[in-house]
Amino acid sequence: MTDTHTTTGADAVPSLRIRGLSKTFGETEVLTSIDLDVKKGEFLTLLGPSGSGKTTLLRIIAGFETASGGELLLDGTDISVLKPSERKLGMVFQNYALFPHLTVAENIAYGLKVRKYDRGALRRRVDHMLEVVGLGHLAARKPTQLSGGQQQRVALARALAYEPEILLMDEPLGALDRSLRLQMEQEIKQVHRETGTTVIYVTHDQEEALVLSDRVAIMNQGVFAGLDTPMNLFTRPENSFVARFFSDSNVLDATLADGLLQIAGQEIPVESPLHGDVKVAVRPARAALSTAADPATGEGPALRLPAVVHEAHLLGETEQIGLRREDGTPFTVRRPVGSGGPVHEGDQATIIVPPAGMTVMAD
Amino acid sequence: MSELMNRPARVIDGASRVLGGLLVTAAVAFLLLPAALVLVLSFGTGNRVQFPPQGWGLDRYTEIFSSGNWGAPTLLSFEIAFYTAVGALAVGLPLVFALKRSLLPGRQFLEGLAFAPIVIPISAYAVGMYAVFSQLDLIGTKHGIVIAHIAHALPMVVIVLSTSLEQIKPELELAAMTMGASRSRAWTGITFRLLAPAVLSAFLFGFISSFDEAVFITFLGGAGLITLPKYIFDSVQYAVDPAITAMATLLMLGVTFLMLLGTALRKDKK
Ligand SMILES: Nc1ncnc2c1ncn2[C@@H]1O[C@H](COP(=O)(O)OP(=O)(O)OP(=O)(O)O)[C@@H](O)[C@H]1O
Ligand SMILES: [Mg+2]
Repeated sequence: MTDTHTTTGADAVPSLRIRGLSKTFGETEVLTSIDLDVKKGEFLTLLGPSGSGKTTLLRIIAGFETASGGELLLDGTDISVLKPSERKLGMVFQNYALFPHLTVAENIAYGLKVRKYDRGALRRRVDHMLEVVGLGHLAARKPTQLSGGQQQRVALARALAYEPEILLMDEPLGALDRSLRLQMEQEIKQVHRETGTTVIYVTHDQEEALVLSDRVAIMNQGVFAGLDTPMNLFTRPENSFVARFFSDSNVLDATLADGLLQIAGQEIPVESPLHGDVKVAVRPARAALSTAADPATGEGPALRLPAVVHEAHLLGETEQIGLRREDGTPFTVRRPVGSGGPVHEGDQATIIVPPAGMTVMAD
Repeated sequence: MSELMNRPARVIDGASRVLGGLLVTAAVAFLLLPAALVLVLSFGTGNRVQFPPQGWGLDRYTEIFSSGNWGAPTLLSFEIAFYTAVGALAVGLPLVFALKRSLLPGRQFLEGLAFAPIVIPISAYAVGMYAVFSQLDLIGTKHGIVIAHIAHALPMVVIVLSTSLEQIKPELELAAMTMGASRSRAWTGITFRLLAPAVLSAFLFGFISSFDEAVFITFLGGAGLITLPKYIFDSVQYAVDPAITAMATLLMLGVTFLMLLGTALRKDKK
C-alpha cells in the first residue's frame, strides 16, 4: 500500500468513476445504484457471495453488458458508449480463455498485433511480459500443454501486455488448488507492484481479498454493504453483513443509551455515538471462554454469556469452538491451540467479551 | 473356499466372452462381407458377375473409364453433392450460431426442425417432397434435388458444427475484444478460425450424404436426372453390368476416404 507506484491517499486521481449504476435482467434488479471510485494504481476487490452481482458489474465495466442506468467514467470520459475494444481495459477470465490455436508468445502478442505494434517493439514487449510471469522457456508451447497455474500466468501476461488502464480479473484463481492459489496470489501482488496497473479483482474468497487488496467492496444483493481497506472492514465493520461475511464475527442484539450498552441483561460502557437498537459484532478471536475445568480470570467489566459447547475443531494454529447460548443462538470462539483447557461437546461454558472486543453498529 | 466360489463365475465369464467374441465377429463379417465381396468381384473378368470369377484383371475398371456411360452420372453427382454441401453449410452455419450463441426465442423449435429429417422415414419424406415439388415445378430439376439433399444433409452438418462450436468458449471472443480487436476481427481470427476444421468436416459429410443418396433422386429426379446411385440402381433393374462392381468399389473407397478425413478433422480440433 505504500510502494512507489500505488497512491491510495484521499488526493489520488480517480481512474474509474461509477455513479448510480444499476442493472436489471427482465424483472430482477441485479445491481442497484452502485457508486465507486477506483484510484489510479489501486488494487480493488469486489467480494461477495454467489449471485451478489460481482461478475455483472465487471462485465458492465468491460462493456460485455450495458447498464440499465448510471454513469461509467474512465479518466473523466464516459466509456459506457464505447465498445469493449475501445475501452483500454485488460481482462483475465476464470477459465483463462487462452486462444488454443496460438502459442504462449502469440497469445501474449495478440493485443499488440491488434494495436499494430511494429515487429521489434512487439518482440521486446512479449519477451518482457514472458519474463515478468517467468514463462520465457514455454513461449513456443500451446496453452493445452500448460498446467493451470501456467495458463493463468499467460492470461495475466496477455492482459497486461498492451498496458491497459485497468486490469479486470474475475475469480482468476477459482480453478486452482489451495497451494497454487497462495503462490499465485503472491505473484499477482508482485506483478501489480511492478506494473502499477489499476486492478479490479472479483472473488468470493475473503482470504484472497485480505491478501491482495488495497480496498475491498463487499457486495450483497447488488449493493455495496461495505467499501474500505481490509483492515477497517476487519476491525470496524459498519454493519452485520460485513461483520459476518468478512471476519466471521458473531453479531448480538443490544440497545444503547448514554454510552451504556444493554446486552443480555448486562450493562457495558462503550464509546459510540449511536442510540437505541444496535448490533454488536464480536470477532471469534476477541472472545474468551471460561469453563469449570479452566476458569478464566476476567479483569474489569466484560460481557459474560452462559453457553454450551456444541463442537470444537482445529483450524491449523487456532482452535474453533462452536457454542450455543441459552436462547439457542450460535456463537463462535477462536483461540490459539493449547491456550485453554480442552473442551468437549456438552460442556457448560461462559463466553467472556471485553468491551474492546465489541464493535457497535447501527444495523 | 474362495477358490470354489470363484470358479463358476470364471466359467460363465469365459463362456460369455467366447459368445460375445463370436457375435462381434459375426456382426463385423456381416457388415464387411458384402463390401469385401464387391471388392473381390471388381477384379474379375468375363461378362457375368459370378463367384469365384472366371479370371482376374482390371477389365471392369477400364470399362468404366472407356464406355462413356458412367461419365455423365458421375459428373452430375459431383455437381449436386458440391452444391448440397455448400447449401447445407449456408443454412447450417447461421443456424448453429443462432442455436448456440443467441438468445433467439424459439431456438429449441428451430433445432427440432433441423433434426426432423432424421426422424421422418426417408420414403415418407420423399413422397411429401414430391407433392410439394410438383406444385412448384421442381421435379426433375437440379436445384430441386439440391434443395432436397440440403434438407437431408442438414442434421449431420448441424451436429458436426454445433458439437465443435460448443467447445469454443464465448469468452475467447470477449477476450480478443478487450484486447482491442473489433467484433469481426475477433470472430474471424478466433471463433471462425477454431471452427474451420469442423466447417470442412461438415462440408465433407454434406457432400457424402448427397453423393450417396438414391431415394430422393428416384422420387424427385424425373426421367432426365441420373446421378451415380440412380444409374447403378437402374442398370441393376435390367441386367447386371459387371462394371458396377468396379464403380461400387471406387465409390466405397472414395466415401470411406472422405469420412475418415472428415472425422480426422473433427478430432484434430480437440
Ligand atoms: N444474463 C442474465 N440474465 C438473467 N439474470 C442474470 C444474467 N446474468 C446474471 N444474472 C443474475 O444476476 C445475479 C448476479 O449474477 P452475477 O453473475 O453477477 O453474480 P456473481 O456475484 O458473479 O456470482 P458468482 O460468485 O456465483 O460468480 C444472479 O442472480 C444471476 O442469476
Ligand atoms: Mg461471477
